[in-house]
Amino acid sequence: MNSGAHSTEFAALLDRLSRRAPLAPTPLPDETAAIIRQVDECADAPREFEVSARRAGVEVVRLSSDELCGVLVDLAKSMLASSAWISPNALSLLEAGRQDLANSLATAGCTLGTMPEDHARFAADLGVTLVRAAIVETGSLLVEAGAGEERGTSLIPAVHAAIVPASRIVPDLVDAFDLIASRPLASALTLITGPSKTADIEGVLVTGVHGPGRVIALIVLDA
Amino acid sequence: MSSRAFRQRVSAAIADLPVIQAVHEATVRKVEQRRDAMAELRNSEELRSLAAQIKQHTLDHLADHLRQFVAAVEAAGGVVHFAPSPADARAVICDIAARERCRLAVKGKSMTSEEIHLNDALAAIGIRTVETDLGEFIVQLDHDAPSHIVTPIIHKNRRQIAASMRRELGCEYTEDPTELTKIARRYLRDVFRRCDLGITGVNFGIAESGTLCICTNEGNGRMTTTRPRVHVALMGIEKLIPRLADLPVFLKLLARSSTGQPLTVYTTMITGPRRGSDRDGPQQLHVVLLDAERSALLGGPYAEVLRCIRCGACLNACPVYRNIGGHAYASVYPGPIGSLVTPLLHGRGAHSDLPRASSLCGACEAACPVRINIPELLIRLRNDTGEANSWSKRLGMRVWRWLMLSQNRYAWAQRMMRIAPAKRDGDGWTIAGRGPLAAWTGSRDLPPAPPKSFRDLWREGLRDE
Ligand code: SF4
Repeated sequence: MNSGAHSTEFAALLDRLSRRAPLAPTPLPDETAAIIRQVDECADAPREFEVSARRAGVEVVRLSSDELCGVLVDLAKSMLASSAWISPNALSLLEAGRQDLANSLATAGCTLGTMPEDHARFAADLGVTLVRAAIVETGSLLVEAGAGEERGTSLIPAVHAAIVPASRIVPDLVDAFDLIASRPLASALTLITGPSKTADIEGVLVTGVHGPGRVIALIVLDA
Repeated sequence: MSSRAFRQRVSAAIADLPVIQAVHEATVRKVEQRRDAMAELRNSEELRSLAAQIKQHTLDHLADHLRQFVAAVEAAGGVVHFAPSPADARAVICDIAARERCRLAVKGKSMTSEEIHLNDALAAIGIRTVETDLGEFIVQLDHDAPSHIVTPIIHKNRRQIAASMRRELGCEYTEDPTELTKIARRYLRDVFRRCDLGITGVNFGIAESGTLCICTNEGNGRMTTTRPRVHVALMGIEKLIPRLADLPVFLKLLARSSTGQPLTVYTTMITGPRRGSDRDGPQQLHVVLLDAERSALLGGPYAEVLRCIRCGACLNACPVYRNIGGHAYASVYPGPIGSLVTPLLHGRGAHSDLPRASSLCGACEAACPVRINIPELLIRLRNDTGEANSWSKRLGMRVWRWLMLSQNRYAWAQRMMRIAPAKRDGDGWTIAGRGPLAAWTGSRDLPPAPPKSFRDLWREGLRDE
């Protein structure tokens, strides 16, 4: 069977559909943003994002860029992480060099990987990414796969720490989609809104099903 | 499905009290969560109208959007397949799996894949398929069927789940949902490490960019589109929306309608397979477009059922669903939308009773984020498919009409109601009427007639009070 989208069957379907199109088809509304938008603008975006992120179950830390390295090391220590997986993009934002961070993590008994082998991906306790955007409306983080960022970093480890430069916080989902449309689409983009969860068993909320059970937004106020 | 079989299943379902209670509690909770979440929106009514309009537009111009979608998926490096029927879809997917020498498949929750009975077909060519949504995973352990399109194990309690997990996975017995979830996580992690084929459904396909949007809460949808070498996305041809900018409309409504969340935890947007600079993600992306009778509905009176975004709100809102649960419908899509879609897509004869499984109260339409006029379509479908009403029902209706048209006859009928011989229960409800009344009381009880009618009371002095 020729099953492709260039098969005669598919051509026949398109033909049938065209012939069956209604006489007065519904138009596509043009200016929809005004109806869709829920949040206009934010006087204090980091503060407002913090509120909605917490509501979605995300932990929030506000810091400056020179504190970032120390906060990550403290986090690794507090969760007794033995291995951290930090994306090249996230690393580029750290003032400390890769070696400095690796040394500090080592004193906490934690190894550092930026582009780990497959087995190391599953061994990592902590994943650190740099977000493309963060959304006040929903408390969501937008992560993008591509150069310097893997799909798995925000997914496989039990804890995900997302670095959120304050300048990347936008009011509404609509704004995030404007950003997405502003350059060629990555192969995978994900909006993350809280920790992985289920309520499948008797409606009881359980976190950390397949993705991270803890999500921490590190809002970098001066970035 | 014969009328009798349906009635028997309903009776059996109603008799299973723990299940019905669980379904009832869960659906009531969800209706409240939905209501609160929709109230957060500035303009939920306008947003619903917009969503309905965008979907209807897409359906009205489906050929154009399909053409655009196919071109965009291909431009992004994906391969598009077309499956006129469920059998074709099975064949296409088995073909891909065999050609790529896949052994272990992981599956995200996909009602469309249930529709085509994919797992058995893959098993027949030696490929093991593991469901990765927690609910679907438990359904699979039990060789059961999902009973809700969003929460598949709404009909199971934790004791049943604990027993299945111990039996099938050999783990310690625990009834703690957190522990049970951990056990499943550990088991499925190992599967995710080794799998080579990922199968998902699609919530929305974006025509202009060829993007596939997949919404999950657990992260299994992301795992399934990150770990395997080959990703196969199966979608009905009606799943398209025109533009990326239209997606927020639906995202703002889908999770709210479904579970009362502002967004699902993960909203993943996939455009093509992994690129040169990507370090993970599938090397191949196949999109399988399934028709399976959908195109036959377009341009006809039932076309708007194809606007459905499978949020499940109409199930939760439906008093019939709440009282009989999902299995009684014996179809992949239960509840109000299932009562339409199942006979329409899978043959009217076999499921001719489903459109009658509704009180036409309108709660489904009021909850539907894309404003499908479910009650009206149910009535239309009843008229289109129903065997003609039986002579006794027709006679009963005639008598009813005759009685109701005259004041005296009505008053007389009321008196008769009080003294007529009929089987009544302890509280005076008529549970089995005689003659033409039997057709009515076959599936309904009549309340006891009050000792005095309103007219009597009025005459006896109510007027002066
Ligand atoms: S018919 Fe409407 S309410 Fe029911 S599942 Fe579909 S979109 Fe949701």
